[in-house]
Amino acid sequence: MRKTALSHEILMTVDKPARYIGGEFNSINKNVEDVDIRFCMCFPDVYEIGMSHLGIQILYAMFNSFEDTWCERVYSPWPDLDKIMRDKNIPLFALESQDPIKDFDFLGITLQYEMCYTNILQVLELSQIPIFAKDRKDDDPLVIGGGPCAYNPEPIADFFDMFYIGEGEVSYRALLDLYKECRKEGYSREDFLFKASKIGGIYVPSLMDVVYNDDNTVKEFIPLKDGVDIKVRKEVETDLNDTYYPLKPVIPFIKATQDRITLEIMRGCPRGCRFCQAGQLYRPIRTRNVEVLKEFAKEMIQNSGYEEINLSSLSSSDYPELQELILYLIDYCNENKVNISLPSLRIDAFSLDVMGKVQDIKKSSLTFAPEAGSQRMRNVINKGLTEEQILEGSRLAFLGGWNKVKLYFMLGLPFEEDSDVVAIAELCEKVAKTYYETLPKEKRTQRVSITASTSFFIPKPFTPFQWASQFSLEDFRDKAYLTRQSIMAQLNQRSIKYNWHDTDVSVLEGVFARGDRRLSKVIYDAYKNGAIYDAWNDYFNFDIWIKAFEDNNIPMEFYTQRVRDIDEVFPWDFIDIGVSKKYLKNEWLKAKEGKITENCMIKCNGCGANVYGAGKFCFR
Amino acid sequence: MFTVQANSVSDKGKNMVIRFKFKKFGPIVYIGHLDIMRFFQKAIRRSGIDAAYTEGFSPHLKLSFAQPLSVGIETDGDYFDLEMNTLPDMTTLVKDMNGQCVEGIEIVSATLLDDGVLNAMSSVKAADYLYTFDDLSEDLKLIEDFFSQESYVFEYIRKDKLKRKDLMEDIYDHKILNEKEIIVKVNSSSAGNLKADVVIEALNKFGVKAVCKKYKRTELYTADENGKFISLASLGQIYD
Repeated sequence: MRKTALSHEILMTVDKPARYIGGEFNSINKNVEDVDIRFCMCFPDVYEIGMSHLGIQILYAMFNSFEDTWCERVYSPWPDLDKIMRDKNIPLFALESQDPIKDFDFLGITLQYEMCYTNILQVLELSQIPIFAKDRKDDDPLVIGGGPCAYNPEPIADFFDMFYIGEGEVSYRALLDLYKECRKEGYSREDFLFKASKIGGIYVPSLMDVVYNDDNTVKEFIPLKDGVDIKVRKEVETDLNDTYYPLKPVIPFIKATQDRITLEIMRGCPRGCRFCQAGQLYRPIRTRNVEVLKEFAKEMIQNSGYEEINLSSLSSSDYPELQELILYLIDYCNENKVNISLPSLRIDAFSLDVMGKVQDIKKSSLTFAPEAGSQRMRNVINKGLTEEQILEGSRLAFLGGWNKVKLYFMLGLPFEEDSDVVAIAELCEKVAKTYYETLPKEKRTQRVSITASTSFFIPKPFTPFQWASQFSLEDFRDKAYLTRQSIMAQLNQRSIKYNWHDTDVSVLEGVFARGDRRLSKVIYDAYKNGAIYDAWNDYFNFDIWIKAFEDNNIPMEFYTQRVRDIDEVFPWDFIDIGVSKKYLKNEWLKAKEGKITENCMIKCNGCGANVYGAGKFCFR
Repeated sequence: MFTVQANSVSDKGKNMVIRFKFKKFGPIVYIGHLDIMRFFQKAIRRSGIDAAYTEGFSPHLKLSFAQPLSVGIETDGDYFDLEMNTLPDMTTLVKDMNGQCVEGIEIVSATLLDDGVLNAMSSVKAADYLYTFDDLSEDLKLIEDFFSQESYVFEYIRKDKLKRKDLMEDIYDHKILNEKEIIVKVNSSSAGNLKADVVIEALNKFGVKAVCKKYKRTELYTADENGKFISLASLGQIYD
């Protein structure tokens, strides 16, 4: 019978013990004696968040399809268990075997957002693995990071033996083979890491030194060993129709945040919004064949028992066979009592028709993401959504019976002026007015409800806005206040609800997004002073962070508000994502002039990602 | 006082409800009742059997669970009723369903319920719990004394509330199996469910020194027209 690493008494004490027992349907158990490599995949946040992540499910399916490898999972213990494990000196364990992670060969950590960095340290410390890579010995697991934040790995470079830059489906087999090879002959960690650095997408921080200028900007990157190439190129899966996919996803007992099937229809996005990091990182655009998707959907519905399926991509409206796919899914899902959760679609007759079929119109709302209030600002960020499109979409929706509209905006975009902020309120008012103009009095069943939400813009690496200064906390608050005031000044203000996100976290996220190696020490100090679960409002404590930065004599403004020179070397410049810095620079200059760049499915803009020769929309 | 609902009957007048008996053991005991329900919903959907659904935008299976069990407790005999559209092959049903279960959740039997049988939740009347102690040899007489009382009013605290109950009204039967184990039949109806751990608390208060290491539910009962307790599984043809 399966064992548990935690005693009955502990499991009866902690909240949601199901987080820690494993044994979920479709989870994989293997015999330790039958495998050569034990890999533990970690999402450094609580189980319900981590289990919602598609990437880990893909890699879990891939690793476990290898006969010589057993891949297991671990998530951040919640603070209640964290304390017990520290008090009783219980090592962190993997869910499947319940064995300590310190006995594994690899610990892979996915880096989905900056605010999980202290949880990485928690996982390492609870696992009883030295926090700093330099302190690890040959028999400690190799700690490898991947995912979007790995594209600027420098703030957490000291904690990792390796980073995997790019899509995991490509190079892991080579890495595992090398590991097995090295294990055969007298294994040394150093020797393995050196050889690993030659595998595509693998970055070994200990083999590279960073030299700084007097003003603390990066001067250059220096290889620390002969034969080390410091340029690391992103790995890309070239054919989405012939790759790993979790057709038998692990089904959690407790409700995960995403309690549904995720069907990934394409990677990459043709839109080129200048604030969006994913839009650049995941180039080139690659679509999955519609027939393949139909089969995937059928199999996953049968294998999971889920009641809902969700289409995933950065811009589903750009998927060429979207109509065919959705119409097929509506039929199949109706028959099998599965709900379809629609991605955000361009609002037109087709999408409204589809929405009417799969949702309860009275309860559901229409979502637009104009991101900025004024057309001038939308040109700056290259968000190709016009006021006419929003108002016409709203009109069609109101005629179709909807009366709830959600609008998403960002505040603090580069070159933003007060008039652009006020325009957010004005756009909301125009949508409200459209409602009253579209529907005669007798047809209005309820008051129109408009929800405007703003988040604060954070410049990210590998975007045209990587040169931008982030606004200060005070600016952020002023902008949110101005938005609120402007909304209150509208005629239909009673129909408009306004939400905004917290500001402190945005500052810290901005620091880590464009941070350098000097920050590893700050993160360590903050963690040692109690920072953990920073992505959770209830746990985030900005004071700890302020102190950690002060103690290390590093001002946060250096990373957030500083004006960057156009020729500055960035801490992440040694990574090559295919999209050239020259292209990004040009986009930054075009943003200043408010010039737009076209959808790249229509016209190639020469970003450089065609070097991968992948996808039918990019040509070499 | 309570409206008791009979399981619905199909158009042809044939009852289309299957009562599943299941076990829960090992680490699975830490999964709460609601999550066990969610687990079975998915397992049923995966199995491909033609279960009945509610109407509307989010159709749901017509499932009824007999009696929630506290987290941390094993069971050999819990039940849920499932309403069907068409009947599956009853001879392979238990095996097929177990193919959709995990280690620690096991379907023991499936009963095709007779017409007009009340649903599991409404009809459950009593439960058996098996208590395992370290050593009862010194306490055997005391235990007999405890259970042979006409009345034993016991005060205990649950969820910060003081409760007062005559336990003898809710304890129906007991049997000392050996020097470690006793089995107790208690009221498990929706109106007067006696929680299994209250019995241990009362025994200790009464002077029993032996320590209860664990306990588990072994069976759930309903009552026949004469008031005799019969297994919830016995109200139709049983397949296992």
